[in-house]
Amino acid sequence: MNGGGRENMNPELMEKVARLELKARMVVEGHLAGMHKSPFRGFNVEFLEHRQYNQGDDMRHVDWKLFGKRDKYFIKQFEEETNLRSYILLDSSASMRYGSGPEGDKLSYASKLAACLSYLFIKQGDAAGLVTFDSGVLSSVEPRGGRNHLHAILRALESNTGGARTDVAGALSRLGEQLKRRSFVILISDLLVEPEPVFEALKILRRRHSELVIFNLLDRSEVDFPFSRASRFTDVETGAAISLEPTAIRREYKKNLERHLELYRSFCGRQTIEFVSAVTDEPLEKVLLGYIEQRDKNKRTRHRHETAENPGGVT
Amino acid sequence: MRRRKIPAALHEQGTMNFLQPFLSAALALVAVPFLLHIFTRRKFIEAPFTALLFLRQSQRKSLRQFSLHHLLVLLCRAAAVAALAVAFMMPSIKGGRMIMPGGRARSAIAVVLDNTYSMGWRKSGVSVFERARAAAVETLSAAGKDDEIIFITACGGADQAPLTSRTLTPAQLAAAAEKTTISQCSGSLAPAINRAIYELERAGVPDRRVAVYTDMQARAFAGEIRKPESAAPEIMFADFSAPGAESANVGFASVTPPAFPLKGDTVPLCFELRGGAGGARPAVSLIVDGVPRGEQSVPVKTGRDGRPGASGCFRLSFPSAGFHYGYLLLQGDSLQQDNTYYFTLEVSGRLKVLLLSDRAGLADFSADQFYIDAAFRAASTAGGGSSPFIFRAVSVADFSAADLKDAGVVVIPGNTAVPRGKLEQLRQFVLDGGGVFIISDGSAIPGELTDNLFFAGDTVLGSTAAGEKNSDGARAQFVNASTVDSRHPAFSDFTKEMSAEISGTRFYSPARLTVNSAEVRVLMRLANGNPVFVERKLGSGKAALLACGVNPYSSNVSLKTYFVPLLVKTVMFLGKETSPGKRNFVLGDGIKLDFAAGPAQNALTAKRVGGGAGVLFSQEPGSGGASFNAQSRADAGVYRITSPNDNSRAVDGFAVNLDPAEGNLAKISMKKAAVIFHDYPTVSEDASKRFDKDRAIAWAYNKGFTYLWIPFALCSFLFMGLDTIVSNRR
Repeated sequence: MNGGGRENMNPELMEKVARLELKARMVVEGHLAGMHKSPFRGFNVEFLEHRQYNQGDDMRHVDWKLFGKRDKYFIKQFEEETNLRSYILLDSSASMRYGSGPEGDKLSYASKLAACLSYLFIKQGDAAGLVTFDSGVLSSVEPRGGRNHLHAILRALESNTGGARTDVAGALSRLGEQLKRRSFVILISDLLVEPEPVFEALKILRRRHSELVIFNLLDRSEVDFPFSRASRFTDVETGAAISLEPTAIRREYKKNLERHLELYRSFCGRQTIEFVSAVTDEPLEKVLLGYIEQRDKNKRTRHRHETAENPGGVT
Repeated sequence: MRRRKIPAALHEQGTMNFLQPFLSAALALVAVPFLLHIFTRRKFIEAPFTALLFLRQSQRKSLRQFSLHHLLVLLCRAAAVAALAVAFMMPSIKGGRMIMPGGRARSAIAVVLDNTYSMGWRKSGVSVFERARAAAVETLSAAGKDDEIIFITACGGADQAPLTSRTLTPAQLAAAAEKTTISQCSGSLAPAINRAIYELERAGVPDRRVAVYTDMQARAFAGEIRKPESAAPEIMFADFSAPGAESANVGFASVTPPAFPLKGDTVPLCFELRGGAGGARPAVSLIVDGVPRGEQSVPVKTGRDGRPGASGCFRLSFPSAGFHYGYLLLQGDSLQQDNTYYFTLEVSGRLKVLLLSDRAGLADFSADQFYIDAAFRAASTAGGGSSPFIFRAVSVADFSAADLKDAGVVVIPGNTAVPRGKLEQLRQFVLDGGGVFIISDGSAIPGELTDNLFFAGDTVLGSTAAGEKNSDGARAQFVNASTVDSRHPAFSDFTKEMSAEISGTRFYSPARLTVNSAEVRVLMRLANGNPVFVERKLGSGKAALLACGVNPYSSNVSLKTYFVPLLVKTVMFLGKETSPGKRNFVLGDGIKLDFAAGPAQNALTAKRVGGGAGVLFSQEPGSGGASFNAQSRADAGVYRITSPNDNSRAVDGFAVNLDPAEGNLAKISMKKAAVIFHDYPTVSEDASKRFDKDRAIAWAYNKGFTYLWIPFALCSFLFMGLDTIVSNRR
């Protein structure tokens, strides 16, 4: 766990953290200012249902207004009684350090994305946590709120230099074992692993009613496979190598990649997991805000459906 | 090799030829794409990457795809290079139905006209040559202005300059062909055809043809045919031979004139004819010096070789000595050119030889005259009385100037004393053209008389040299003969064995002879180096001296086998000029005639009796005579060599005849002709009865001929484009 205090941070890291915070603020607040209303409002204290009072229940949760109307004690139940606990799982394996363009590697892009999301959660009073991993956990910041906690996350991001081989399923499984309550889990990874173990881990998380969002980050060269000369491709994680003529397999490669992503998309669709694909040469703002707008639209649509089915909200 | 008739369908699909076949080496460039492929395909660059998961999935499939793709690209590139190389080779196809891009090629046609004398066979008043010439003129006249035309005759020699359209218009060429005449030459068509092919190869036109208008005589197909340097032109042999001529023709195979006719002798002149139809009796006439001397008809029979022929002999005599010429004339034959055979004869008078002797000497074994008399008597009666000389022994006492009338040579043997007055008569005889052969050791006739009267003081005939030292310094009983002048007529016919025998001759008492001038020619020397046999011109005659007796006590000359021939040859030499050997030649032979050295020979010229073409022969003066180089353009006939210093007198003569082989008609089949010209495609046209002008002209100027280099170039570009498309799809 890399949650050292401010006194442990060197000036260079401090500057990087400040820049990261500034970036996150620009992205998120610019959006908030434009919308006047956070799309995450009610995200944490969502009213769920009323139930009859039982002996031993905390009297603070009795709905006195309803008692006045019905002369019975009802307890107000909320979806989350406390702030939303969000976990950002950041894949920090060697493949995430791969980057072919001037925008840098995927890990850098992912760190900015994680910073933005953390800022967003903490800004609206939710708790945000961070787990960086490769085949194991590299660092972990427990979900909390507050500006100081944001800085702890940012420091953890900046001090993250990446690891070795990826084990996404393992990271998800370990997180699933730790989760005591419903959480908001965000996985940021290139997902260049066999999908089946990942699917299994996601299913476990989903059974715990956690809300899942997957940000799939890819480099432009991983998408387009623009190599032209006969090359000996070496896996940055395993060191395995394949010699071949790129031009001959480009189409096949793209087809395989698309099939791979389509597996994730279809799985996520079935499991109501939000799946966001991004390429690192795309502006971060565009990716993040595009996702938020899409989520807001989905939320409102879902809310309208629920309202139409249960206008009183009482079950 | 193709051998066929001229196709009726002129646009028959033909084989592809290349105008620039040497550029086929560029086809090797096809290897370049393969080499590049081999040397560049396995150079991988290192590239770190993440998604090897997907690469593994597609690796096997893509490798197969990659190989196919590379193979396709490789084939495209190789095909592009190959097509481009072929385009540069200027491919062309004969008789294509379509006029392809690149345009119709010009035609290059060489017309070879056989004008050897066998083409002179006449039928219905028209000769084979005239028909062939008319066909050649029609072919030349049909040429287009862009076509390359070459006209060449067979009898122009290999160095003849053919007439071409580079300098003449088709009309001018046709007019020149119209003026062509039949030649008296016999020979091969090969030089003319070779020259025609040479010219065509340099015309720069792919459609090349050679039209040969000939009578297809086997002799004309002898000679080496050159290998084609590039695309071989098609050769058409148009056969104009007259049907039946081969069996009907008769000509002189050989004529044998008498070798050494003598005045007054009746000698045979035989001839041999070859060919002729069975049962025919061709007539042969003999004309000598412009006077008919007889005619005879000889029946044609099958000879031992299974071929028809005839032979006969004339017997004739010559009342006067000297040069005579004549010819044999054959009648009843349609090939006039070989119906005359010319000959020359030099008739010699009989040489009168006198032997001065005394009666006692003729019966004395120890006297020279005994052996000389015996030798001449034997020689004059040998050969059935046809000796070239008449011999008579005359007593010195009875000898007078009257005996010298008509005499050719006087022999004065040793041991015979001749008074000075009579020796002076003999000197005058020599000065007037006679010959004297003195056999003297200086004992009977004083040496100074011999020296001064007959050798102009250029010799010194000393005393008898018996007992003189040999070359080894020892005093010997004899001296061997050593060397002889083998080029002298007295010895020129002797073989090496005979010359070796001469060196074994022993001279027991030779006179010591000294020669002081080059005017005296030494014919024989002794082993000690002293001359023993000499001769000298004196006035118009000659004198010879053997400085030793021939009796067995003076030498063993008379016991040697060469004794009689030496005596005869010496007196023949002293009695007249040397006559040239061969006098009858075949046209085209190199002619060499030897004449005695003399200032007049430097200006000798040879002219044909009765005039005619090619009458002059170039002259190469030499020390021993004059040589004449016969030129093939000379006419057959009798030539007389005259001296410009004395034009009124013919010095000598010789005859030039046509090669009898040309008149001996023997056709070659088209199949054999095609074998001889196996490097070339050949076609035949039977023009013996009728010449199909339209068909031959259409063959000569085939309008369906096309270049194919542009289609090949387009193919190359197409493959390049395909290569680009395939490469970009990767």
